Amino acid sequence: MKTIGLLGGLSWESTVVYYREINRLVGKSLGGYHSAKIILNSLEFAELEDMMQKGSWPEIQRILIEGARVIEDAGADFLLICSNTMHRNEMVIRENIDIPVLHIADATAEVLIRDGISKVGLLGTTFTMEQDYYKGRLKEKFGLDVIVPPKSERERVHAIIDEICMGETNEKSKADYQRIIRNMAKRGAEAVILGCTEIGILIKDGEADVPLYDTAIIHSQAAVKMAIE
Amino acid sequence: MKTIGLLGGMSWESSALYYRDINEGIKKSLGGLHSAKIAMYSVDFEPIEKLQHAGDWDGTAEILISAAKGIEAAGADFMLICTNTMHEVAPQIEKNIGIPILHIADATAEVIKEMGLKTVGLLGTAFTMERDFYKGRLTDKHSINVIIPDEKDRKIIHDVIYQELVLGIINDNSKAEYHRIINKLFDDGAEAVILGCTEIGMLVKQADTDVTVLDTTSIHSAKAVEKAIE
Repeated sequence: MKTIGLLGGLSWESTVVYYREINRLVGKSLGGYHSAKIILNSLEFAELEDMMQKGSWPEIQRILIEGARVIEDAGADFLLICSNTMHRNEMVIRENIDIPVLHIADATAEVLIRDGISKVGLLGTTFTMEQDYYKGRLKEKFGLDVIVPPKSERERVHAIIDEICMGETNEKSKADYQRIIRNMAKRGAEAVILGCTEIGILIKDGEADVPLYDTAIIHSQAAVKMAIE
Repeated sequence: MKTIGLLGGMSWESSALYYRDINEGIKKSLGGLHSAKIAMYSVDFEPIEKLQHAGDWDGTAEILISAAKGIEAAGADFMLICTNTMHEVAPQIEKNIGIPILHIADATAEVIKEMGLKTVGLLGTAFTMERDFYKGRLTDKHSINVIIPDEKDRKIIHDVIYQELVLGIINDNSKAEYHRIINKLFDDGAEAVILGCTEIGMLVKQADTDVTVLDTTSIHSAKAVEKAIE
């Protein structure tokens, strides 16, 4: 069994989802008392959040690269960045370490394609919904048609993620997600990607008009497959 | 803020509690979106469990020393072994790394002394209840009287840990048995009962009993938070 590297704490609430799901699946696959071999480097989120607000991406990259190197030094065979948003820095992290990075958008796209979905809605931080590191990759590498909510809804989606990062889950926010998902379904989305690892904490597949693809769970499943294959 | 090293996966259910408790503790102390700096190495529990029950503690030490070195390499300032039972090999691990280990029995003993208690009951795996690395440390280093259940009840406690809790199974009959045994320890003179296995807190909650219970997972996590931000 390979050792899974997790760059986490982005936020820690979703890292718990990764840690639990990976261990649960390894236990299920291998039986007995088996659990995953994991090296987790959990970063201080307030520092990073502050830098994101200021747009200090070079500083963020320095911290993430250092965090990833440490995981490599500790003996991980491959790395997961436990956050969609931080995949903006995936390429520069990958270039600075020798172990492979399992990209969250690739893991998600593979599952969507397997399920025969070609037009998909995307929810995430404004960074993830607006910039090209994620949406672009789904389109260009996998030929998926990706739609995002309009600007006012995008702002609401992002604000709710901040609530979840603080450990809050409230019904009004959940209803807003359901409404925003419905609007994307009307525009032709056959499914919606929960493209921020926190969103699945608030709303789960089966609770909206179209199937929901929880990226924290999908990313964890891909990691287990890679670890025990 | 210091980086907290966690040697986990024994079992992963309790390591998830450590991770959550420590992050909640940092959030409570520092506010906002603050979270802990944690370097965790989570091992495959299967070989550890086999070696434990074969009595091959040196074999377990070998695996854990290698993981502990990984945690040190990952930049931890100090380390927690996230299980009571594996403190059996804490001295061997400590000899092989350059960072200090925050011992779970010391963390628990401090709380017991702060509460002014003299005699406590101890629940845990058979290893923890019967061997000296834990009970002996409480008695010799901290002058705390420790009482444990009789042999039959020790077996019940141990089997529930390995056949249920480690696998994430919560069973009402087992819960009732645990409470019966906790009450018995109280009747025998225990002023509080140590839940000396990081899994037991999943089954026994303070709200369910009049006897003071000391959950080693939350005590150990709280000490780690204190040490990280001091």
